[in-house]
Amino acid sequence: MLKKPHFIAAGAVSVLVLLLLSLPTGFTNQVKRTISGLLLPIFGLSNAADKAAAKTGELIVPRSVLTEENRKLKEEIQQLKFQLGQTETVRSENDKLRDMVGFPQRVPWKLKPARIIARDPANWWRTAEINVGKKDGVFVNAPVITTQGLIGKVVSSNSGRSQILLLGDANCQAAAIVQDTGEHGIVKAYDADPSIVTLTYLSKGNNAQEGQTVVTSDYDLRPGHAVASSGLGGVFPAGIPIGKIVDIRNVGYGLYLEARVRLTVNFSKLDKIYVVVP
Amino acid sequence: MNRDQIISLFVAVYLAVYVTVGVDTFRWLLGGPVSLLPALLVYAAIQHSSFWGVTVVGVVGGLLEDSFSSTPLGVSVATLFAIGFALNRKREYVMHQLPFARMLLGLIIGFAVPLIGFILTVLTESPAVSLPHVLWRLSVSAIFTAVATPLVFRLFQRLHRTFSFRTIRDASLSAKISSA
Repeated sequence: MLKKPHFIAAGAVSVLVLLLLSLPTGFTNQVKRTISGLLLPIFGLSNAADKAAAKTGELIVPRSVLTEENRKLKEEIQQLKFQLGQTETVRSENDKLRDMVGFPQRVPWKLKPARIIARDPANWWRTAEINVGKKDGVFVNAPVITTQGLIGKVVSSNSGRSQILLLGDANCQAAAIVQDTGEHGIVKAYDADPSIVTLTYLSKGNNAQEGQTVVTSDYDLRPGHAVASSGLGGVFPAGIPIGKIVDIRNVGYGLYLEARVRLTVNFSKLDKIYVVVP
Repeated sequence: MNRDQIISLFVAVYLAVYVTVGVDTFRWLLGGPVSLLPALLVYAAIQHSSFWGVTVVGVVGGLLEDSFSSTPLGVSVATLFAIGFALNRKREYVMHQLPFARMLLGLIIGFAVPLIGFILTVLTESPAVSLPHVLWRLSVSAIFTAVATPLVFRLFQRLHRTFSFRTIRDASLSAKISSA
């Protein structure tokens, strides 16, 4: 038999659960941010311990190794400076040409470095918590990238932290383009493998010939072709690498193509990430 | 369940959630997150007749886990509390003294908690997961909890013994001082 305190506890928890489930989404996100803030002290401790360990590691690195690394980095800086000079010339030329044909100028990105401090504890979602928020200029829907490519976007943010949604989650889609063929599609989640996404609605046609009214799909897609963001969705800027095509198949009774794309970024080993801010 | 035990359980829940969300080692090894909360739930439900332990694990653990997840807030609370409450009410009928029995309990609860959580999640949201992926994750969670449950029992018993011995020693010392 249930005793009175048991009834009270079960009733109180049931009311709490019903209340939480009926909260509006915006308010739920605020409550989540507040509750997850309770773990901040331990994240801070962990971060401090990591830094101390790294510092200790630096102390025991031999001077010869550091000198060699320094030399290599100097060489790399020289090469990058040279590349930057070339890019600047191309950019200025591109700006002039855009101006001539009346295209709007591209808005340059600014990258805000961030670190993942927590991952989704459930097996069914692909979200993570990062250590930058509104005070760092991060806003909802800001793209999140690594040096290898696109990883997702910000879904909620408070002053010092943000939650990001990773590519491959059911709620994260991106407009993409196959760079080798120019076909446009939409990147969606692929259920069976977290390192793969589906690129669907691939519908580039051949240029319509005289007398031809139907734009037919082109079949020149090949495994290994690079896929990048197309910039059409309005969320992700164009040209950020997403992955490489693994295989292609016909879907929708041949109406369009669908390709499986292996992501360029290894999501289980995300270290340095960047939020794209205006 | 006394105050110290509730506090130690509270701290354990706090650390368990931190390990799940903040430590990547298990993710690399097992290909996904694993939670220590089901193992703590078995301990709280079986070891103590009071329901406070289950309430701490269910409410505090559930809220903390949901706050880091896309799962609707409250789903983990409902799952953990319902399973813990049922187990706590029937604890007299469940064999739990032997490590093997605890391991078996861990296996069942480690499978049931994410399964019910997943069913509740699917009723409200639509995550992108395939059936083999779900079964694989449930199996990993079950095996991890089966291994962790006897260890959790042992850890808390050791903690309890440590605090108990200290009390006796303090009492005898104070008796000696007072007699002197």
